[in-house]
Amino acid sequence: MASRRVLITGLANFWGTRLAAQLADDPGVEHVVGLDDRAPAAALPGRVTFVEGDLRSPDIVHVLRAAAPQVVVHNAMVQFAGEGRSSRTVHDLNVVGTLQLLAACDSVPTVKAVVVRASAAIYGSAPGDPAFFTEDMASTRSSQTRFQRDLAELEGYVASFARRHPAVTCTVMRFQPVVGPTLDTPITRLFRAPVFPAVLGFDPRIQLLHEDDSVDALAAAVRTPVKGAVNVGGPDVVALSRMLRHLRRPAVPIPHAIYMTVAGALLRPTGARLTEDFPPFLRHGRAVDTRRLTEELGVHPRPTMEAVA
Amino acid sequence: MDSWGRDPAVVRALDPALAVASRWWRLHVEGVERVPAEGGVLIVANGGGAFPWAPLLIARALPRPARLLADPRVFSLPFLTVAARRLGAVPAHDANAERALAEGEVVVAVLPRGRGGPYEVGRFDLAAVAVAAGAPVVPCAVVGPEEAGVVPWPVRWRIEFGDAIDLRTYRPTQATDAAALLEGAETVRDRIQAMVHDNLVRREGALF
Repeated sequence: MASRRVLITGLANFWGTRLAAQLADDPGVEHVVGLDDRAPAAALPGRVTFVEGDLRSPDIVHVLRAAAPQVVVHNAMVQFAGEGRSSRTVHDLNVVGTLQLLAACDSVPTVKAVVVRASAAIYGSAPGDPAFFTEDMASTRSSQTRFQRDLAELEGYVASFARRHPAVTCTVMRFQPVVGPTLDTPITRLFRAPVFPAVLGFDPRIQLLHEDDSVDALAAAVRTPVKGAVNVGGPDVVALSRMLRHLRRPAVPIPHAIYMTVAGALLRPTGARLTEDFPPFLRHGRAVDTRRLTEELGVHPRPTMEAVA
Repeated sequence: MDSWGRDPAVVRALDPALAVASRWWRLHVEGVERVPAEGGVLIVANGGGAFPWAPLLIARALPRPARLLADPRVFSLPFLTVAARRLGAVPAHDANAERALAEGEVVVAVLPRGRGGPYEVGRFDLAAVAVAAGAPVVPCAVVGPEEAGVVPWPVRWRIEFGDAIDLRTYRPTQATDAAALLEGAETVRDRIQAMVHDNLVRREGALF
Protein backbone atom coordinates (compact mmCIF):
# COMPACT_ATOMS: atom_id res chain seq x y z
CA MET A 1 0.00 0.00 0.00
CA ALA A 2 1.34 3.42 -0.93
CA SER A 3 0.96 5.18 2.40
CA ARG A 4 1.55 8.68 1.17
CA ARG A 5 0.39 10.84 4.06
CA VAL A 6 0.34 9.66 7.65
CA LEU A 7 -1.23 11.26 10.69
CA ILE A 8 0.06 10.21 14.11
CA THR A 9 -1.71 11.04 17.35
CA GLY A 10 0.33 11.23 20.53
CA LEU A 11 3.35 12.55 18.60
CA ALA A 12 5.17 13.65 21.73
CA ASN A 13 5.25 10.23 23.36
CA PHE A 14 7.99 7.67 22.79
CA TRP A 15 6.27 5.79 19.96
CA GLY A 16 5.00 8.95 18.25
CA THR A 17 8.43 10.56 18.07
CA ARG A 18 10.23 7.37 17.05
CA LEU A 19 7.62 6.33 14.48
CA ALA A 20 7.53 9.82 12.95
CA ALA A 21 11.32 9.77 12.60
CA GLN A 22 11.24 6.31 11.01
CA LEU A 23 8.45 7.23 8.58
CA ALA A 24 10.22 10.46 7.64
CA ASP A 25 13.09 8.30 6.34
CA ASP A 26 10.69 6.15 4.32
CA PRO A 27 10.61 7.20 0.64
CA GLY A 28 7.06 5.83 0.39
CA VAL A 29 5.82 8.41 2.87
CA GLU A 30 5.22 11.89 1.56
CA HIS A 31 4.36 13.69 4.75
CA VAL A 32 3.78 13.01 8.43
CA VAL A 33 1.45 15.11 10.55
CA GLY A 34 1.77 14.66 14.28
CA LEU A 35 -1.02 15.62 16.64
CA ASP A 36 -0.59 16.02 20.38
CA ASP A 37 -1.64 18.26 23.24
CA ARG A 38 1.97 18.91 24.15
CA ALA A 39 5.03 19.68 22.08
CA PRO A 40 7.54 16.90 21.40
CA ALA A 41 10.78 17.24 23.35
CA ALA A 42 13.15 16.58 20.46
CA ALA A 43 13.49 18.43 17.16
CA LEU A 44 11.45 16.86 14.35
CA PRO A 45 12.71 15.79 10.94
CA GLY A 46 11.77 18.02 8.00
CA ARG A 47 8.88 15.98 6.68
CA VAL A 48 7.12 15.91 10.05
CA THR A 49 4.67 18.66 11.00
CA PHE A 50 3.54 19.07 14.59
CA VAL A 51 -0.01 20.28 15.19
CA GLU A 52 -1.02 21.09 18.73
CA GLY A 53 -4.52 19.98 19.57
CA ASP A 54 -6.50 18.03 22.13
CA LEU A 55 -7.78 14.73 20.79
CA ARG A 56 -10.83 15.04 23.02
CA SER A 57 -12.09 18.18 21.30
CA PRO A 58 -14.29 17.89 18.19
CA ASP A 59 -12.01 20.43 16.46
CA ILE A 60 -9.56 17.73 15.44
CA VAL A 61 -11.80 17.02 12.48
CA HIS A 62 -10.39 20.21 10.91
CA VAL A 63 -6.85 18.97 11.45
CA LEU A 64 -7.75 15.67 9.79
CA ARG A 65 -9.43 17.37 6.84
CA ALA A 66 -6.44 19.64 6.32
CA ALA A 67 -3.93 16.81 6.65
CA ALA A 68 -5.98 14.45 4.43
CA PRO A 69 -4.02 11.37 5.55
CA GLN A 70 -4.25 7.92 3.99
CA VAL A 71 -3.10 6.29 7.22
CA VAL A 72 -4.06 7.37 10.72
CA VAL A 73 -1.91 5.99 13.53
CA HIS A 74 -3.79 6.29 16.79
CA ASN A 75 -0.92 6.29 19.21
CA ALA A 76 -2.35 8.46 22.01
CA MET A 77 -3.28 5.57 24.28
CA VAL A 78 -1.94 6.21 27.78
CA GLN A 79 -1.36 3.41 30.27
CA PHE A 80 -0.08 5.27 33.28
CA ALA A 81 -1.18 8.41 35.10
CA GLY A 82 1.50 10.93 36.08
CA GLU A 83 3.31 13.74 34.27
CA GLY A 84 0.42 16.01 35.12
CA ARG A 85 -2.22 13.49 34.10
CA SER A 86 -4.65 12.13 36.64
CA SER A 87 -6.11 8.68 36.20
CA ARG A 88 -9.36 10.42 35.27
CA THR A 89 -7.56 12.25 32.45
CA VAL A 90 -5.95 9.00 31.31
CA HIS A 91 -9.37 7.41 31.02
CA ASP A 92 -10.66 10.45 29.08
CA LEU A 93 -7.72 10.43 26.70
CA ASN A 94 -8.11 6.73 25.99
CA VAL A 95 -11.85 6.58 25.61
CA VAL A 96 -13.10 10.04 24.59
CA GLY A 97 -9.96 10.68 22.56
CA THR A 98 -10.47 7.50 20.53
CA LEU A 99 -14.14 8.27 20.07
CA GLN A 100 -13.45 11.80 18.77
CA LEU A 101 -10.64 10.68 16.49
CA LEU A 102 -12.73 7.95 14.89
CA ALA A 103 -15.70 10.31 14.58
CA ALA A 104 -13.40 12.71 12.74
CA CYS A 105 -12.16 9.87 10.50
CA ASP A 106 -15.80 9.25 9.56
CA SER A 107 -15.85 12.45 7.57
CA VAL A 108 -12.38 12.26 6.00
CA PRO A 109 -12.68 10.09 2.87
CA THR A 110 -8.93 9.91 2.22
CA VAL A 111 -8.41 7.60 5.24
CA LYS A 112 -7.71 4.09 4.01
CA ALA A 113 -6.16 2.59 7.12
CA VAL A 114 -6.26 3.12 10.87
CA VAL A 115 -3.48 1.64 12.99
CA VAL A 116 -4.06 1.65 16.74
CA ARG A 117 -1.44 1.14 19.42
CA ALA A 118 -3.22 -0.88 22.10
CA SER A 119 -2.07 -3.34 24.74
CA ALA A 120 -2.11 -7.07 25.40
CA ALA A 121 -3.24 -6.04 28.89
CA ILE A 122 -6.74 -6.34 27.40
CA TYR A 123 -6.43 -10.10 28.03
CA GLY A 124 -5.67 -9.50 31.69
CA SER A 125 -3.82 -12.02 33.86
CA ALA A 126 -5.78 -14.74 35.63
CA PRO A 127 -5.00 -18.20 37.04
CA GLY A 128 -7.08 -20.24 34.59
CA ASP A 129 -5.94 -18.41 31.47
CA PRO A 130 -4.95 -19.90 28.14
CA ALA A 131 -1.18 -20.33 28.09
CA PHE A 132 -1.03 -18.35 24.83
CA PHE A 133 -3.71 -15.81 23.95
CA THR A 134 -4.68 -15.62 20.31
CA GLU A 135 -6.20 -12.45 18.89
CA ASP A 136 -9.77 -13.78 18.97
CA MET A 137 -9.74 -14.26 22.76
CA ALA A 138 -10.02 -10.61 23.89
CA SER A 139 -13.80 -10.44 23.65
CA THR A 140 -14.29 -13.35 26.02
CA ARG A 141 -12.46 -11.65 28.89
CA SER A 142 -14.08 -9.85 31.79
CA SER A 143 -12.33 -6.61 32.65
CA GLN A 144 -10.71 -6.62 36.09
CA THR A 145 -8.78 -3.36 36.09
CA ARG A 146 -9.45 0.19 35.02
CA PHE A 147 -6.89 0.05 32.24
CA GLN A 148 -8.34 -3.23 30.95
CA ARG A 149 -11.79 -1.61 30.81
CA ASP A 150 -10.35 1.39 28.95
CA LEU A 151 -8.74 -0.93 26.42
CA ALA A 152 -11.94 -2.91 25.94
CA GLU A 153 -13.84 0.33 25.30
CA LEU A 154 -11.15 1.66 22.98
CA GLU A 155 -11.05 -1.54 20.94
CA GLY A 156 -14.84 -1.63 20.91
CA TYR A 157 -14.92 1.79 19.22
CA VAL A 158 -12.32 0.70 16.69
CA ALA A 159 -14.29 -2.47 15.93
CA SER A 160 -17.52 -0.57 15.37
CA PHE A 161 -15.66 1.96 13.17
CA ALA A 162 -14.30 -0.97 11.15
CA ARG A 163 -17.83 -2.31 10.73
CA ARG A 164 -19.09 1.07 9.52
CA HIS A 165 -16.20 1.42 7.06
CA PRO A 166 -15.45 -1.94 5.45
CA ALA A 167 -13.12 -0.22 2.98
CA VAL A 168 -10.86 1.08 5.77
CA THR A 169 -8.34 -1.40 7.12
CA CYS A 170 -8.25 -1.16 10.90
CA THR A 171 -5.27 -2.71 12.69
CA VAL A 172 -5.07 -2.97 16.46
CA MET A 173 -1.56 -3.64 17.76
CA ARG A 174 -1.71 -5.34 21.15
CA PHE A 175 1.68 -4.70 22.74
CA GLN A 176 3.09 -6.87 25.46
CA PRO A 177 4.94 -4.80 28.12
CA VAL A 178 7.59 -2.75 26.34
CA VAL A 179 11.10 -2.50 27.82
CA GLY A 180 14.27 -0.89 26.59
CA PRO A 181 17.09 1.51 27.42
CA THR A 182 15.36 4.81 26.58
CA LEU A 183 11.70 4.20 27.38
CA ASP A 184 10.61 5.47 30.78
CA THR A 185 7.46 3.86 32.22
CA PRO A 186 6.65 2.19 35.55
CA ILE A 187 7.28 -1.10 33.71
CA THR A 188 10.80 -0.19 32.58
CA ARG A 189 11.54 1.23 36.03
CA LEU A 190 10.37 -2.01 37.64
CA PHE A 191 12.64 -4.08 35.42
CA ARG A 192 15.56 -1.68 36.01
CA ALA A 193 15.18 -1.49 39.80
CA PRO A 194 18.19 -2.87 41.76
CA VAL A 195 15.94 -5.40 43.50
CA PHE A 196 12.82 -6.88 41.95
CA PRO A 197 9.68 -7.02 44.10
CA ALA A 198 8.18 -10.42 43.24
CA VAL A 199 5.03 -12.01 44.63
CA LEU A 200 5.78 -14.76 47.15
CA GLY A 201 4.92 -18.24 45.87
CA PHE A 202 4.40 -17.22 42.25
CA ASP A 203 6.64 -17.41 39.21
CA PRO A 204 4.78 -15.82 36.30
CA ARG A 205 5.47 -16.59 32.65
CA ILE A 206 6.61 -13.31 31.13
CA GLN A 207 6.81 -12.18 27.53
CA LEU A 208 8.22 -8.73 26.80
CA LEU A 209 8.77 -6.52 23.78
CA HIS A 210 11.88 -4.45 23.05
CA GLU A 211 11.19 -0.75 22.44
CA ASP A 212 12.85 -0.76 18.98
CA ASP A 213 10.76 -3.76 17.92
CA SER A 214 7.60 -2.03 19.15
CA VAL A 215 8.34 0.92 16.83
CA ASP A 216 9.17 -1.46 13.96
CA ALA A 217 5.87 -3.25 14.50
CA LEU A 218 3.94 0.02 14.20
CA ALA A 219 5.91 1.00 11.09
CA ALA A 220 5.21 -2.43 9.55
CA ALA A 221 1.49 -1.96 10.22
CA VAL A 222 1.62 1.47 8.54
CA ARG A 223 3.30 -0.07 5.47
CA THR A 224 1.04 -3.15 5.24
CA PRO A 225 -2.10 -2.71 7.34
CA VAL A 226 -3.92 -5.95 8.15
CA LYS A 227 -7.49 -6.24 9.37
CA GLY A 228 -8.11 -6.86 13.05
CA ALA A 229 -5.92 -7.29 16.10
CA VAL A 230 -2.27 -8.32 16.08
CA ASN A 231 -0.43 -9.52 19.18
CA VAL A 232 3.02 -7.98 19.51
CA GLY A 233 5.61 -9.58 21.76
CA GLY A 234 8.88 -11.47 21.81
CA PRO A 235 9.03 -14.98 20.34
CA ASP A 236 9.72 -16.60 23.70
CA VAL A 237 8.14 -16.83 27.13
CA VAL A 238 10.31 -17.05 30.24
CA ALA A 239 9.65 -17.57 33.91
CA LEU A 240 10.30 -14.46 35.97
CA SER A 241 12.68 -16.35 38.28
CA ARG A 242 14.81 -17.40 35.31
CA MET A 243 14.85 -13.87 33.92
CA LEU A 244 15.98 -12.41 37.23
CA ARG A 245 18.71 -15.03 37.56
CA HIS A 246 19.87 -14.16 34.05
CA LEU A 247 19.93 -10.47 34.96
CA ARG A 248 21.65 -11.29 38.29
CA ARG A 249 18.91 -9.27 39.94
CA PRO A 250 17.88 -10.24 43.47
CA ALA A 251 14.15 -10.83 43.94
CA VAL A 252 12.33 -9.76 47.07
CA PRO A 253 9.35 -12.10 47.50
CA ILE A 254 6.40 -10.22 49.00
CA PRO A 255 3.13 -11.89 50.10
CA HIS A 256 0.32 -10.94 47.79
CA ALA A 257 -1.85 -9.37 50.50
CA ILE A 258 0.73 -6.67 51.26
CA TYR A 259 2.34 -6.51 47.82
CA MET A 260 1.24 -3.03 46.78
CA THR A 261 2.31 -1.45 50.09
CA VAL A 262 5.71 -3.11 50.34
CA ALA A 263 6.57 -3.01 46.64
CA GLY A 264 5.45 0.62 46.49
CA ALA A 265 7.81 1.51 49.33
CA LEU A 266 10.62 -0.55 47.80
CA LEU A 267 10.27 1.12 44.41
CA ARG A 268 9.80 4.67 45.71
CA PRO A 269 13.47 5.64 45.09
CA THR A 270 13.10 4.63 41.42
CA GLY A 271 9.98 6.75 41.03
CA ALA A 272 7.94 3.85 39.68
CA ARG A 273 4.31 3.96 40.75
CA LEU A 274 2.65 0.61 40.42
CA THR A 275 -0.95 0.31 39.25
CA GLU A 276 -3.56 -2.31 40.03
CA ASP A 277 -2.48 -4.14 36.84
CA PHE A 278 0.85 -5.17 38.35
CA PRO A 279 -0.09 -7.72 41.08
CA PRO A 280 -2.12 -10.01 38.78
CA PHE A 281 0.55 -9.72 36.09
CA LEU A 282 3.29 -10.65 38.56
CA ARG A 283 1.29 -13.60 39.86
CA HIS A 284 -0.07 -15.15 36.70
CA GLY A 285 1.92 -13.52 33.90
CA ARG A 286 0.68 -13.46 30.34
CA ALA A 287 1.81 -14.87 27.00
CA VAL A 288 0.41 -14.23 23.55
CA ASP A 289 0.57 -16.05 20.25
CA THR A 290 2.59 -13.90 17.82
CA ARG A 291 2.02 -15.86 14.61
CA ARG A 292 0.08 -13.03 12.94
CA LEU A 293 2.88 -10.59 13.71
CA THR A 294 5.61 -12.75 12.19
CA GLU A 295 3.67 -14.24 9.29
CA GLU A 296 1.48 -11.36 8.14
CA LEU A 297 3.50 -8.31 9.17
CA GLY A 298 6.93 -9.92 8.86
CA VAL A 299 8.11 -8.49 12.18
CA HIS A 300 10.46 -10.67 14.26
CA PRO A 301 11.01 -9.05 17.66
CA ARG A 302 14.05 -10.05 19.67
CA PRO A 303 13.61 -12.59 22.49
CA THR A 304 12.34 -11.47 25.88
CA MET A 305 15.71 -12.19 27.57
CA GLU A 306 17.55 -9.95 25.09
CA ALA A 307 14.91 -7.24 25.28
CA VAL A 308 15.16 -6.95 29.04
CA ALA A 309 18.96 -7.23 29.29
CA MET B 1 12.02 -24.79 30.97
CA ASP B 2 9.75 -24.56 27.96
CA SER B 3 7.40 -21.72 27.04
CA TRP B 4 4.50 -23.40 28.86
CA GLY B 5 6.51 -23.50 32.07
CA ARG B 6 7.38 -27.20 32.25
CA ASP B 7 10.85 -27.88 33.61
CA PRO B 8 12.33 -31.32 32.75
CA ALA B 9 14.69 -31.02 35.72
CA VAL B 10 11.75 -30.74 38.13
CA VAL B 11 9.97 -33.64 36.41
CA ARG B 12 13.16 -35.71 36.86
CA ALA B 13 13.50 -34.60 40.47
CA LEU B 14 10.05 -35.94 41.31
CA ASP B 15 10.72 -39.26 39.59
CA PRO B 16 12.26 -41.09 42.60
CA ALA B 17 9.23 -40.21 44.73
CA LEU B 18 6.90 -41.52 42.02
CA ALA B 19 9.04 -44.67 41.73
CA VAL B 20 8.64 -45.30 45.46
CA ALA B 21 4.89 -44.69 45.18
CA SER B 22 4.69 -47.16 42.28
CA ARG B 23 6.46 -49.84 44.33
CA TRP B 24 4.40 -49.15 47.45
CA TRP B 25 1.20 -49.46 45.45
CA ARG B 26 2.45 -52.44 43.39
CA LEU B 27 1.49 -50.44 40.28
CA HIS B 28 0.83 -52.50 37.18
CA VAL B 29 0.84 -50.60 33.85
CA GLU B 30 -0.65 -52.11 30.73
CA GLY B 31 -1.08 -51.02 27.12
CA VAL B 32 1.44 -48.15 26.89
CA GLU B 33 2.24 -49.40 23.39
CA ARG B 34 -1.28 -48.36 22.36
CA VAL B 35 -0.40 -44.68 22.84
CA PRO B 36 0.60 -43.33 19.39
CA ALA B 37 4.31 -42.55 19.32
CA GLU B 38 3.89 -39.33 17.38
CA GLY B 39 1.48 -36.45 17.01
CA GLY B 40 -1.11 -35.00 19.34
CA VAL B 41 -2.79 -37.54 21.61
CA LEU B 42 -5.47 -36.87 24.20
CA ILE B 43 -5.28 -39.35 27.07
CA VAL B 44 -8.49 -39.40 29.08
CA ALA B 45 -8.52 -41.14 32.44
CA ASN B 46 -10.97 -41.55 35.29
CA GLY B 47 -10.15 -39.51 38.37
CA GLY B 48 -10.64 -39.76 42.09
CA GLY B 49 -8.71 -39.62 45.31
CA ALA B 50 -7.41 -36.71 47.29
CA PHE B 51 -4.03 -36.11 45.71
CA PRO B 52 -3.42 -35.95 41.93
CA TRP B 53 -1.37 -39.15 41.88
CA ALA B 54 -3.17 -40.47 38.81
CA PRO B 55 -2.03 -37.83 36.27
CA LEU B 56 1.51 -37.90 37.64
CA LEU B 57 1.74 -41.71 37.46
CA ILE B 58 0.15 -41.73 33.99
CA ALA B 59 2.66 -39.12 32.81
CA ARG B 60 5.49 -41.22 34.28
CA ALA B 61 4.27 -44.30 32.42
CA LEU B 62 4.31 -42.50 29.07
CA PRO B 63 7.31 -42.60 26.73
CA ARG B 64 7.12 -38.87 25.96
CA PRO B 65 6.53 -35.80 28.15
CA ALA B 66 2.90 -34.82 28.70
CA ARG B 67 0.84 -31.75 29.45
CA LEU B 68 -1.50 -32.36 32.36
CA LEU B 69 -4.79 -30.50 32.38
CA ALA B 70 -5.32 -29.27 35.93
CA ASP B 71 -8.06 -27.45 37.79
CA PRO B 72 -7.61 -23.69 37.16
CA ARG B 73 -7.97 -23.08 40.92
CA VAL B 74 -4.59 -24.74 41.46
CA PHE B 75 -2.95 -21.83 39.65
CA SER B 76 -4.22 -19.27 42.13
CA LEU B 77 -2.49 -20.99 45.06
CA PRO B 78 1.00 -19.78 45.97
CA PHE B 79 3.85 -22.33 45.57
CA LEU B 80 1.46 -25.02 44.33
CA THR B 81 1.03 -23.12 41.07
CA VAL B 82 4.80 -23.04 40.54
CA ALA B 83 5.16 -26.76 41.26
CA ALA B 84 2.24 -27.63 38.99
CA ARG B 85 3.57 -25.60 36.05
CA ARG B 86 7.06 -27.07 36.40
CA LEU B 87 5.61 -30.59 36.34
CA GLY B 88 3.80 -29.89 33.08
CA ALA B 89 0.36 -28.90 34.34
CA VAL B 90 -1.64 -26.31 32.41
CA PRO B 91 -5.01 -24.82 33.34
CA ALA B 92 -7.82 -27.01 31.99
CA HIS B 93 -8.90 -24.55 29.31
CA ASP B 94 -10.08 -25.74 25.89
CA ALA B 95 -7.60 -23.37 24.23
CA ASN B 96 -4.70 -24.95 26.13
CA ALA B 97 -5.72 -28.51 25.29
CA GLU B 98 -6.30 -27.69 21.63
CA ARG B 99 -3.02 -25.82 21.25
CA ALA B 100 -0.93 -28.56 22.86
CA LEU B 101 -2.64 -31.24 20.74
CA ALA B 102 -2.14 -29.18 17.57
CA GLU B 103 1.56 -28.90 18.48
CA GLY B 104 1.73 -32.70 18.52
CA GLU B 105 1.91 -33.18 22.27
CA VAL B 106 0.42 -35.72 24.65
CA VAL B 107 -2.29 -34.16 26.80
CA VAL B 108 -3.57 -35.95 29.90
CA ALA B 109 -7.07 -35.12 31.08
CA VAL B 110 -8.51 -36.64 34.23
CA LEU B 111 -12.29 -36.78 34.33
CA PRO B 112 -14.17 -35.84 37.49
CA ARG B 113 -15.78 -38.62 39.48
CA GLY B 114 -19.39 -39.24 38.46
CA ARG B 115 -22.36 -39.03 40.81
CA GLY B 116 -22.61 -42.79 41.28
CA GLY B 117 -19.76 -43.07 43.80
CA PRO B 118 -16.21 -44.47 43.56
CA TYR B 119 -15.05 -45.57 40.11
CA GLU B 120 -18.02 -43.93 38.42
CA VAL B 121 -16.56 -42.04 35.45
CA GLY B 122 -17.79 -38.45 35.04
CA ARG B 123 -18.51 -36.33 32.01
CA PHE B 124 -16.03 -36.00 29.16
CA ASP B 125 -16.30 -32.57 27.56
CA LEU B 126 -13.17 -32.35 25.42
CA ALA B 127 -14.61 -34.14 22.37
CA ALA B 128 -14.87 -30.92 20.36
CA VAL B 129 -11.26 -30.07 21.22
CA ALA B 130 -9.97 -33.47 20.11
CA VAL B 131 -11.93 -33.22 16.85
CA ALA B 132 -10.74 -29.67 16.17
CA ALA B 133 -7.12 -30.68 16.74
CA GLY B 134 -7.59 -33.93 14.81
CA ALA B 135 -6.08 -35.87 17.70
CA PRO B 136 -6.92 -39.46 18.67
CA VAL B 137 -8.31 -40.08 22.14
CA VAL B 138 -6.74 -42.83 24.23
CA PRO B 139 -9.00 -44.04 27.05
CA CYS B 140 -7.17 -44.84 30.25
CA ALA B 141 -8.41 -46.64 33.35
CA VAL B 142 -6.85 -46.04 36.75
CA VAL B 143 -7.65 -48.36 39.62
CA GLY B 144 -6.30 -47.66 43.11
CA PRO B 145 -6.64 -43.96 43.92
CA GLU B 146 -10.15 -44.37 45.36
CA GLU B 147 -8.82 -46.76 48.02
CA ALA B 148 -5.47 -45.01 48.53
CA GLY B 149 -7.23 -42.14 50.30
CA VAL B 150 -5.50 -39.47 52.30
CA VAL B 151 -3.53 -42.12 54.22
CA PRO B 152 -1.68 -43.92 51.40
CA TRP B 153 -2.76 -47.49 52.12
CA PRO B 154 -0.66 -50.02 50.21
CA VAL B 155 -3.50 -50.93 47.84
CA ARG B 156 -2.83 -52.40 44.42
CA TRP B 157 -2.85 -49.91 41.53
CA ARG B 158 -3.46 -50.60 37.87
CA ILE B 159 -3.19 -48.23 34.92
CA GLU B 160 -4.41 -49.49 31.57
CA PHE B 161 -4.29 -47.63 28.26
CA GLY B 162 -6.93 -48.65 25.73
CA ASP B 163 -7.01 -48.57 21.94
CA ALA B 164 -7.06 -45.07 20.46
CA ILE B 165 -10.47 -43.74 19.42
CA ASP B 166 -10.72 -41.45 16.42
CA LEU B 167 -13.57 -39.09 17.25
CA ARG B 168 -13.50 -37.69 13.74
CA THR B 169 -15.45 -40.77 12.68
CA TYR B 170 -18.35 -39.33 14.69
CA ARG B 171 -18.31 -36.16 12.63
CA PRO B 172 -20.41 -36.82 9.56
CA THR B 173 -20.74 -33.26 8.21
CA GLN B 174 -19.47 -30.40 10.30
CA ALA B 175 -17.12 -29.66 13.20
CA THR B 176 -19.85 -28.31 15.45
CA ASP B 177 -22.27 -31.22 15.11
CA ALA B 178 -23.32 -31.37 18.75
CA ALA B 179 -25.16 -34.69 18.55
CA ALA B 180 -22.25 -36.47 16.87
CA LEU B 181 -19.77 -35.00 19.35
CA LEU B 182 -21.96 -36.07 22.26
CA GLU B 183 -22.11 -39.59 20.90
CA GLY B 184 -18.32 -39.62 20.54
CA ALA B 185 -17.88 -38.30 24.08
CA GLU B 186 -20.24 -40.98 25.47
CA THR B 187 -18.26 -43.66 23.64
CA VAL B 188 -15.06 -42.46 25.32
CA ARG B 189 -16.71 -42.35 28.74
CA ASP B 190 -18.27 -45.81 28.31
CA ARG B 191 -14.98 -47.29 27.17
CA ILE B 192 -13.16 -45.90 30.23
CA GLN B 193 -15.95 -47.12 32.53
CA ALA B 194 -15.77 -50.63 31.06
CA MET B 195 -11.98 -50.66 31.39
CA VAL B 196 -12.23 -49.50 35.01
CA HIS B 197 -14.63 -52.34 35.87
CA ASP B 198 -12.46 -54.84 34.02
CA ASN B 199 -9.37 -53.73 35.95
CA LEU B 200 -11.20 -53.79 39.28
CA VAL B 201 -12.01 -57.43 38.61
CA ARG B 202 -8.56 -58.30 37.31
CA ARG B 203 -6.89 -56.65 40.32
CA GLU B 204 -8.21 -59.53 42.48
CA GLY B 205 -8.53 -57.59 45.74
CA ALA B 206 -7.34 -54.15 46.68
CA LEU B 207 -4.90 -55.18 49.42
CA PHE B 208 -4.20 -58.92 49.34
